[in-house]
Amino acid sequence: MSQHLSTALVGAALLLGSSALAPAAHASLERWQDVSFTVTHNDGLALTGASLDGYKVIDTMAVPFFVLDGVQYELTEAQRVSGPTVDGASGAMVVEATYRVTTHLGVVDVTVSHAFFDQDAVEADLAELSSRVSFTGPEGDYSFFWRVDPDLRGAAGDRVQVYDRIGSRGAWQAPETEQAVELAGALEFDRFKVRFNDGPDFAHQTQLRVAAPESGHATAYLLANHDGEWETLPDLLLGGEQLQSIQHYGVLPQPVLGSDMVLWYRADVSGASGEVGPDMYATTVAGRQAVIEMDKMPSTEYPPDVYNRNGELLSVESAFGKAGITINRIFKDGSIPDKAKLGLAELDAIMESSMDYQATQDTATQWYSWFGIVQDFVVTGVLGVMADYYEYSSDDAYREGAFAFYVGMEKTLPMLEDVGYPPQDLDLYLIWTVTHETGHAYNQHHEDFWYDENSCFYENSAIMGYSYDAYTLVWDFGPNSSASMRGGDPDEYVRPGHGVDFVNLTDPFIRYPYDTTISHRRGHHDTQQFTGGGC
Amino acid sequence: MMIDVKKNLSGLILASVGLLGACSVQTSDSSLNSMDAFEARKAAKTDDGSVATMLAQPVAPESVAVRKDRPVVNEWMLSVEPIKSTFLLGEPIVVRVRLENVSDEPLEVAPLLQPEFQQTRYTITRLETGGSAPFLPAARYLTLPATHMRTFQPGEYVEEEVRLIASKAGWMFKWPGKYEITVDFDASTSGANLMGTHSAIVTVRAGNEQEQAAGRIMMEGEAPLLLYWEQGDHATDGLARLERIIADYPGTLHAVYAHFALGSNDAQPFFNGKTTREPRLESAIEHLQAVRQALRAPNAPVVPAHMRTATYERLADSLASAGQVGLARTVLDEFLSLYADDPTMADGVAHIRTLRASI
Repeated sequence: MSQHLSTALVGAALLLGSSALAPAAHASLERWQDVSFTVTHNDGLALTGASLDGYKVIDTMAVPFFVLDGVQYELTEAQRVSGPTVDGASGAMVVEATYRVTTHLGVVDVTVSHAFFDQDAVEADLAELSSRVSFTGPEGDYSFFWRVDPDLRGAAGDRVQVYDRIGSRGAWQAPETEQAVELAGALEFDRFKVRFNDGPDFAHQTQLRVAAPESGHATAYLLANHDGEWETLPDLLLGGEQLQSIQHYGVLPQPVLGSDMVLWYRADVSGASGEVGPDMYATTVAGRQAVIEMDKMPSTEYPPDVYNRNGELLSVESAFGKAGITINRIFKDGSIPDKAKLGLAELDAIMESSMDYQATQDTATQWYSWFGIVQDFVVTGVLGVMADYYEYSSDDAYREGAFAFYVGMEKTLPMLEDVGYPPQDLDLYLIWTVTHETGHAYNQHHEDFWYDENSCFYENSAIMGYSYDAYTLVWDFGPNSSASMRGGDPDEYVRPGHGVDFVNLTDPFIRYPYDTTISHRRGHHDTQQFTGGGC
Repeated sequence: MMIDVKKNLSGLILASVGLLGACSVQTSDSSLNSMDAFEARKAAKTDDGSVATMLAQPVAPESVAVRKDRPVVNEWMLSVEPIKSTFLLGEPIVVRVRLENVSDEPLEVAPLLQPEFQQTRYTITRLETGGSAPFLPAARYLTLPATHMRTFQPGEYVEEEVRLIASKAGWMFKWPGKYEITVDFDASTSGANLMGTHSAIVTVRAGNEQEQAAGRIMMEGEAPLLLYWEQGDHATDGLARLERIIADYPGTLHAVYAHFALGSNDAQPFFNGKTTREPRLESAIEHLQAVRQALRAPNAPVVPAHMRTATYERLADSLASAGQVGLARTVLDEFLSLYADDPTMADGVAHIRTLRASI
């Protein structure tokens, strides 16, 4: 049985859509602090650094070179004519310097700016760094080179991943060697194809992701930190071969530890003027790393990696990412034989017989749950089930996994049309069901439907709610669930397949002493009914 | 006079036999409305004083958001009644829950009364200690309420059996004494509790020495899961417990439930994720005949309507599959003769009539 692996990034669904399409920011992501930055100089070159939440995100970032019609030029003290200036008046902190370079074709004026947007200006859980070069000069073929050293909490701990295809599915992979990654047209998965990860552990992780918006000519180069590269462009950037191996380990595309990586970014543009540059996004996450082992019946389909809901990109990974959990999905090719009309006991048996990766992937620092896409359930109209809450099962584990009913959805969605809804897209419901039911595996409940004051149980609800249709969902677990999953509740409260008994099994009427988050008190202990929002 | 209008909920009844229990939608005429009938039945069952079903008045919403595309729900009656006043320790606690339109206007609602949907909440209070905890079912369902939405005419109601068996915490009624079962139903779009709180009290008695011993086995390990699932070859702990009850305490009511769960498992194919095990007809017939004998005895125990229907249906299926078609017909005819006049069995009778016609 062949298997392929997929990993996806944190919070990515927020990024591609415009801010108007994205959910409103909420203040529950308390780990965020504004980006702070530093400006140092190297032979007149303004080197910008950034720190986030007290940790270094970028050691140095600069545009040290450009090439005009095959001739390389440096941007140094001798060419700097203004700056660096620091301006916070435009909604971002902008570091800017201008250089005038005399080339073999004439004078070129180059302005380099690095704009840091804090999370309030862009998105709640991301800090954006837009770096731009604007230039005027003689007509020619220009290539500008950025050098970014994302020393995330230490030069020796950089871990880099590239998004690529394995078979029919996308996957984040640890590269074997230094390499160039074409970013142009990288809308395949939340528009990022390169990401750096780092952190002392999975609970304090920082990521830097790279995008090339509106660019048809951008390339990212993932290179080891070579001596002397401030003076000379690495050969690879000019088409040469310099493929040093990159350390990595593990079966899954685990980030690389112990390597000092540098990101080079090259943008090519022809003409006498222009503006080019990368967008980068940095995030700190509560940092739980988790695996979902996905299996299915041959007659069913997996949900797409990403679903475009009217311009907003939804993915299982983005939903959990916003709750501080980086999801790695392992896709199997469909090892569950086709069978219709499954009962709860059969679902339980299927799951127990299909959790192939639990033994190797379920660790304290990497959580594990299982998910099955099967045909249908004995109860009509049910899209998905989390059937593993019973704490007395013989394996002494519960909340290990869940199911979505593919054929059941095919039958149910037309029922919505029968009551006046427009045609519904099954892929959207598959993604929602996988996310919602896996949310149950993470001990979240239907009571956790609240997202903000506009939330109703049936409309504008968070992922754990009962929306009338999946188009009104807020693609977010909501502040209560997010707080619970990103560390507000103890690990054993959230971790699938594990956990202490949150009800007293000797006397279920004795409350568990831990005082859970408010919404979870309702789900576990309180008799209080839901409280609604603005409906 | 009750009029069964046979408005099954989107196939929920037949599809869910074995999982959701019996369910019916009925209307009543003006001379004896359905609430009166329900009260009458309740009163008949409270003669011994051990059951007090409290039917609170609907809570008038302080504010109802009137939306063109959403139902406005403000005139509902929710009530809960156990299928009997007193249960043995280790006997599944089953209640009938009814949601009725007591207004003068047609009203819409998605009547998701089963706890797996988590829209109707069941809270158990042990009156001896005052401790209370929600009944959290062993499974949670995701559904689209809009696909369950239906219009209830004035006086029309839906009534379902709800089995409070396998909670997340296992068996909740594990001590003799009185328990209050409280039901909340949220029919609003806002999440506000428009329906009020409705509760009933049940008594759990210890029984004799044999019954206590059988009850203790029934309440532990995977035995509740087998009662809940009514199948499960892989739940070996539960299967062993049920077989032990039958072997060691054959005269108890618990043995009847054990026969039912084991017979149901044997009567149905079971898919374990790799292969499908076909029905074990001989064993199924043996177990379900034992249940049938108990149900047709002069002092037959009061058991859930679903259990009665499923016993006869699965027994008849097994007999027919084993080539004993005549006996299968006899079994179904017996069911109809026993329960044709029992209003709590209306759905089962209709189902068995259909099945009988096909054999």
